[in-house]
Amino acid sequence: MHEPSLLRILPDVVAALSSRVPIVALESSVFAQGLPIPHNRTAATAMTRAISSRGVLPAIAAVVRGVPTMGIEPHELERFLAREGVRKVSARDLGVAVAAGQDGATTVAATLALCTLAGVRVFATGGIGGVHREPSIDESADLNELARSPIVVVCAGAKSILDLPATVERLETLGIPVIGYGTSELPGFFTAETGLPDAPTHPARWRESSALTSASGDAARS
Amino acid sequence: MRGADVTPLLLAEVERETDGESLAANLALLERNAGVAADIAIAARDVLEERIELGGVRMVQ
Repeated sequence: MHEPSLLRILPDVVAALSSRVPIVALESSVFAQGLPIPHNRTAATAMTRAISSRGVLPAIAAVVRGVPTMGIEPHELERFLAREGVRKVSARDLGVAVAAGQDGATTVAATLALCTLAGVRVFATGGIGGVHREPSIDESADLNELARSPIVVVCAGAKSILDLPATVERLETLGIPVIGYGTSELPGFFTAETGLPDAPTHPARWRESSALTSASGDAARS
Repeated sequence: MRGADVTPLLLAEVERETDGESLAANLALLERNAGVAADIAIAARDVLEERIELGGVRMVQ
């Protein structure tokens, strides 16, 4: 019987890891569920270009026909952009997606899990999940995964539809460092300011940005 | 409606309510964040290389 591999890593990503070429991971759920056609393709092109133009390797995470993958091939990305038969895969759904042998677009939580497995330390997205307004027990799995992943996540705060003060409290409880980047407030996804304080560190060497960086592990201490 | 389906639905509603302005902002911040992440990845690599040169990092196979 064929045993599905734990993780498939694109050869370019393997080469970059071994030669210490910087890598930025991207989630696939933003392309398959987050943005409508044709804007999802616009975003995929713009994000990969913004990364590769700086000499950094972009790697999109996804479950490809049941195989968790770091760095999907261009023809595989086409299936995710077409948004057909692609399920949304959070961290807890990874096993189910593997068993079903289906295409799965990974959320922030699932992408973090694949980054940890692959050894990719930086991940760019739009906004992380958080605590929902109603019911407040509805809390994104992104938060738990952020707490246990040694990954820098560059985002514009949490998604705008969330309870942001409650999300800030949970980030603190979970011990997730929050670094304001060119701002001393938590960005509100569509707005640069929310009046919510973050935990300003010293991101001056990373130059200007209004992104919120959530980090743990080495990156937070560097 | 609950669970994983909630967020895409709400974001689509925000887009309708803002006449697509939220979509334009979304695309802009995604590209911006990707660029910032690349800069951070470069900075993190440089810090790692400095540590290796200083002998502060032991590479374990």
